[in-house]
Amino acid sequence: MKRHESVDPKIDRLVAALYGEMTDADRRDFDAQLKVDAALRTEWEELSGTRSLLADWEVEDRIPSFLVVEAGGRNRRASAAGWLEGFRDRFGSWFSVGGWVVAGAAAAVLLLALKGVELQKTDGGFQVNVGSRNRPVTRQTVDPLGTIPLQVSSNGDAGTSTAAYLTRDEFDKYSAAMLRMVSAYMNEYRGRRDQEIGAALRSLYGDINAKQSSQYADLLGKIDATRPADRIAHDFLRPMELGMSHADSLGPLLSPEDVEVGRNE
Amino acid sequence: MDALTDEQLVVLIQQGNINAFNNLSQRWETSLYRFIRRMMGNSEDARDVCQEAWSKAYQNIGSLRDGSKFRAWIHYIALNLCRDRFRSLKSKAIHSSYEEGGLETMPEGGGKAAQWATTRHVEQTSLKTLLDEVLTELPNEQRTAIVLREYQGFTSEEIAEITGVPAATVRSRIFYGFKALRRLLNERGISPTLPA
Repeated sequence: MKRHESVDPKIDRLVAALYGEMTDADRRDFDAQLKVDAALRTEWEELSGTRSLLADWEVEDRIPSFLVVEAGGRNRRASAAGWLEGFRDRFGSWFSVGGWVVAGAAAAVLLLALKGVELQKTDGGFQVNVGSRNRPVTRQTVDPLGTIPLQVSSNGDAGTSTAAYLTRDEFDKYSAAMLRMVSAYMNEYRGRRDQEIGAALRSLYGDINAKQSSQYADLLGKIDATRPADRIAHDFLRPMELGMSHADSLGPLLSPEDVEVGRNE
Repeated sequence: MDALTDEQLVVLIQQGNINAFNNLSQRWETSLYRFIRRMMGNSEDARDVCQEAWSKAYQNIGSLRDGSKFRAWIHYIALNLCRDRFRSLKSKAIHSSYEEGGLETMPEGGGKAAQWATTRHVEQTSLKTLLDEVLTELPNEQRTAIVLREYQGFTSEEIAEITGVPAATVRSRIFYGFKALRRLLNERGISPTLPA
């Protein structure tokens, strides 16, 4: 219930005029009185001058929001925003440029895992499995040279049929290309301070090197047995481009004819 | 839903539509917060009061008969919460002043040291900060009337409904509020004049 108070009509008119709460006729009367009443004019000027300052009283705070959320129901706007803010608070530091790379890689691995793709470390490197583990997996070996028709059976055997043979020269080129590729990756990352990648590549290289070294003699024997005429032992064992080559680890492989046993110069 | 009027949204809310309430709060949250912020004089209290005002509005919107008056209604709720908060702060201040040696030890009008500090203050702070300070020194009724009229855009009649006094009284409070404001600014070396 409103209370009734006696208010000075002059004050009432001044404020009503200030905020345009007058009829046009009242406003005309007021303006006419301003011209003849000096005291009223002074009050009017003071009032208008003070009001003009209020435009500078701004509120620049961030405005808080209020949202009603149905518990466990359809409207999840507030909870989603809260989750995002919480996530940002916790993992905000991850969202640098490098952080996005890590997050992207992690997301890719997660996606692959969900799709049934499995990355498995083997004694010779890494193997990517797609689908069920029980399903037969087709293995394909990438040919870095692009010209050598290389087929490898599941146990790494180059095969004995004439349709799937390797010459020493081909094998040499292939091995060199593979090692060049690994070497190039290592050089690329050497300058970077990414120890994990470097360690992974060194491990990968070590695995490849060990695997190839162990199978080298066997493969040579098979190649020689298939095509004895292609045997060029001295060319085959040229030093590899990496610091540690097959030549270093195995030593020169010479044919029995070239070896003089017991000779000591 | 953005195209709906406040009245239509209130009807939807009263039928149980939560999204309608969120739409309505989104529509008025900036305006309401600024009102509360100007009344309370600081962000921390303003945020608390604002949150409480929306919460009370949601709880009690079923009792709002005229949806077209939602904006005045939410300001009425906020104003009452501001008053409660002032009372609480005032009792805390009195309690605190007694603990520090009693009310009689508090300097009246600031004294010479306060005046010197004020002069320096004028030099160092912007007009905006100064206004923030002097407007919070106005009596609550005068500040309420000025803020609702000047910044919230309510007419004297609407303010009369929100505050429960006649419109003429609202205008009187605005007038005397401006007088007090002018005096406070003059004390700080600012002389408001009519812009040319």
